[in-house]
Amino acid sequence: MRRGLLCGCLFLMPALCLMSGCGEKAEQEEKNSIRLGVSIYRWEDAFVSTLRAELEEKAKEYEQETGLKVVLDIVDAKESQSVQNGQVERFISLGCDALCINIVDRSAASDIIVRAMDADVPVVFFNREPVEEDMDRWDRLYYVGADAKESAVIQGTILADAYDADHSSLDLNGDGVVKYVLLEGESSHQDSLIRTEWSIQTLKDRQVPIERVTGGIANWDRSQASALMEQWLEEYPGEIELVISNNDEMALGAIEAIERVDAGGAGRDIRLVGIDATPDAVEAVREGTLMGTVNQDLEAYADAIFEIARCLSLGEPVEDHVALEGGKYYRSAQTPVTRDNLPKS
Amino acid sequence: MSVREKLAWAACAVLLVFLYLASSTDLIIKEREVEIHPVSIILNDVNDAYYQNFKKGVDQAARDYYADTSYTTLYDEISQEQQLQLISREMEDGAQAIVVIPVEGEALMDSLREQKSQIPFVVLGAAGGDSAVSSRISVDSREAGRRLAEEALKELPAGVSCWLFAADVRLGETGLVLDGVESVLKEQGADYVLREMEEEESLLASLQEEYERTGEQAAVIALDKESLTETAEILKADGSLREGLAGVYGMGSTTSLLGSLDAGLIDGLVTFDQYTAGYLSVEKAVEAIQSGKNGEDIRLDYFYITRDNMWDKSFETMLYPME
Repeated sequence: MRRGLLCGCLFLMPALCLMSGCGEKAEQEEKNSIRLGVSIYRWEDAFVSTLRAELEEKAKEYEQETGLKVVLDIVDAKESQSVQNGQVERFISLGCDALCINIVDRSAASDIIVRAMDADVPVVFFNREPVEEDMDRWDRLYYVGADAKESAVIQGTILADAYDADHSSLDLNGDGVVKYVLLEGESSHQDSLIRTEWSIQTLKDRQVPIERVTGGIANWDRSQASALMEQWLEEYPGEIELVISNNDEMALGAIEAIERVDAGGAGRDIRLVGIDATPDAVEAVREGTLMGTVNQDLEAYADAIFEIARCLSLGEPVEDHVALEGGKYYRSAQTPVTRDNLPKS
Repeated sequence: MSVREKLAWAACAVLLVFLYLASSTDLIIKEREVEIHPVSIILNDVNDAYYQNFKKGVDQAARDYYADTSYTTLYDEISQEQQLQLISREMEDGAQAIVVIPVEGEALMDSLREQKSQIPFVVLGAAGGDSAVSSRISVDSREAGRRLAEEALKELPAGVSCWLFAADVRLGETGLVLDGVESVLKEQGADYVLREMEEEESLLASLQEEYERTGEQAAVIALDKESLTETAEILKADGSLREGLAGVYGMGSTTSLLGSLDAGLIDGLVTFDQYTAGYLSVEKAVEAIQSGKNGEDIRLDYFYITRDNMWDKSFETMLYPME
């Protein structure tokens, strides 16, 4: 009797395995759409907003090329990690094939990672990089972003090149020192510290004589930067020669403040640099109000996010389509944008 | 152990089993199964920039009615043909209901009548009037156009010529708005010129030149949100162009348009409660899925918004709805 049962089990096991395998294959063959859950840390952020539009474009292009439907669920986390965690839970319950997360708090990714691991839904983080310890927790986690040090070095190089070509381009009063103010992004964002450090370091390495007047955190935000700049223009009248900004939005905020407070005075000569090459910033470079910015190749950036998520959704090897560093990081290429190398409008 | 004790132990054991079955299985207390309804929402634009408040309403209704909503925008051009292809695709992909904002209302209705679809359609717009759709949520665009022109003429100095800007009067509800605006302008004997699918920037520049030459101002009435947005953007970029205009009026409200209204670039606009439109569209879609019957048509009110009344409590909550 026991022998009969054993034989029966041995006979049934391969059959069951075969059947379950067939099921998976059928599931793969039937896949005629992919669904990606995208959570943005803050809807109003100009850079991320442009990136989101590029991502939507990529999805549409892919749909048109292949006929495979792409559903993008894009939501705003409103700068709240708990809201974003809830959104991730909803994405998973709706059966998203992959998640693209612009995380609110880079040190609090573990909750999202645990939920994703439990549901076996891969995650592509972008723009705001989770700490390395979290990224190493699972082999289905990826990060797409720009190298902050490279951005800063390019920003510093734009300034140093201008100084070398003509000292008076930065040293407006000819006293042999370039006095600058610094607009910094969020203190919790990995790029803020690195951009600040390497932008200044590059100027020092290139022997540009600089002196910091003041600086402040404007959280990547145009209006906060505008308010800070307005205050500095009143506190240090005629002193500021250069504004180094961690991103374009804050640089544009500073331009608005200059136009408001000191457009007719020495303020109009103040030089400003940003990073991101948002459409508004490129226009400002064209008009000459912004000296330069750093292009992060948003098209390639969005393409990498989409391609990684798509490959993971369709079970294709990611590295066949996207060149990754360390098997999970993609760093977008960056170039300087100045009046001399502006793209034609 | 006495018989009574044995019975008590047995009763305890039965109770424990009962409690286990009740709490951990579906055998005694059936857990209410929530059915999720996939609802596709097909917009009449290549992106969702003009639909942020509408989307907030949709998202809230999706949570309230257990709908799984997904948005579909047109690829690269605004065409009814492309929208029809996307509708077919969504039907094939298993949408239980479709909410659609038509590119061209009549063309959409013709197609839906031909298709005799089994799934419910909720249409946002005034076109049609038959059983091809389950529910229709609309604003009386002709009357909204009339209101816009009446308010503009009330505020404008007598004798000012009105320039009517439109992206394309065949699209959406623009034709109806034009009917309404024209009827008022004719009734009141105002001069007007319709400019369609043209460069607003060069038109505004020529109005400014005319003003500098003759000292006569003109007024702009934008018949759709696209041309109103374009006009506001141009005036924002070059404030001097505003001098030649006695007033700027138009249809539609987005965060950017409201910013322009608050900044004084736009004098007045006519809009409706987009959050409610989004909410009702999903509500009606889910009701139609569940009942299998057509719902009623809903007419939404329209409002004239100015810089002075935009922060009134009722308008503020309509224009800037919380999620």
